[in-house]
Amino acid sequence: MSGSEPAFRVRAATPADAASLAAMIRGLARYEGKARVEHITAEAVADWAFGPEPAFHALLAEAASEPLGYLAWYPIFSPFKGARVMLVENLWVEPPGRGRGVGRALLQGLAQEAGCRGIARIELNVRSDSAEAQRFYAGLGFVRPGEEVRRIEDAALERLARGETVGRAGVTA
Amino acid sequence: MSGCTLRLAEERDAPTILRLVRELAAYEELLHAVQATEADIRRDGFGPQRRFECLLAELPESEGGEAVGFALFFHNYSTFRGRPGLYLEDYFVAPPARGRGIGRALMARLAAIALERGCSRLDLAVLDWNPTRELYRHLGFEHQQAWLPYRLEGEGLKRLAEGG
Repeated sequence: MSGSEPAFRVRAATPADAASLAAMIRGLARYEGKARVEHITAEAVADWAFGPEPAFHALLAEAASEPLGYLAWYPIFSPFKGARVMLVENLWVEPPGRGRGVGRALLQGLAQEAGCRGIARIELNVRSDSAEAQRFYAGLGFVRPGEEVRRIEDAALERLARGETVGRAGVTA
Repeated sequence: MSGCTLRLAEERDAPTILRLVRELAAYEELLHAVQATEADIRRDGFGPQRRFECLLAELPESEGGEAVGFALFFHNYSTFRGRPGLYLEDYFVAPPARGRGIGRALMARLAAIALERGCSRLDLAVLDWNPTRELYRHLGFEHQQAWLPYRLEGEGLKRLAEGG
């Protein structure tokens, strides 16, 4: 970025932002190929992010009152560090906001919030098919801890809860 | 089955949790990275703002009743689904206790907890050399090859906050 002031600002999202936040979450979900996005409504986001027990926190980037992007995060815990960690669930910049340093500014805002909260680590997952995204995060100082992400969901999770397994027959844990 | 008892940890288990965390770290050759203290475990596991929960697997009384395995977890959140998930942060069975189904029992209980709480997914990250990856595959976990974990901490985090 140049030394001039960016033409946008980053701030914590408030309940008044539920509709624009919902629209941006839908935008990211569509971009990632999710078929079903209509349940991501302003009312739902108000409940998820601004209810009595918020499931996540959000930072917004906006120019005048036009939303340019958002970052959704929540605190997790590292038993090795014995400390809380911030997990970035979503980082999204609307097409008009791209190339203006919005993503970087959102992460900078989060890093500042980490400092305020006494949190010393941010974690996130980056698309493995995007060299550009990997360069972006590496350029900000992010490193790869040599881990792989595993997930079990829906019917497979129900099978696991019932004690069933997949894979080779006869293998025991 | 394993004959072990599974239960959710309570505050009095903080020293046990820290012991198991250290055993896991030693297995991962990361013992030097453990900074957590018993006070950290008490504050973040059992204080007013709970950051994690923990399942303990204990040997039968006839074998001494010692805790030999644990699964430490917390909730994450899917903004796309609009549902919480469970994230398994630490998962470990002490080597002498392996081969009797304790790890599988811990995982099945965790899956049941996830479903009871309306969570539709269970996530974890595993070191890329860890042989436990085979167990995860066997239990039905899928490798999310589209995603690479990254982290930022220490000086890098300070630099970003300062805009450097």
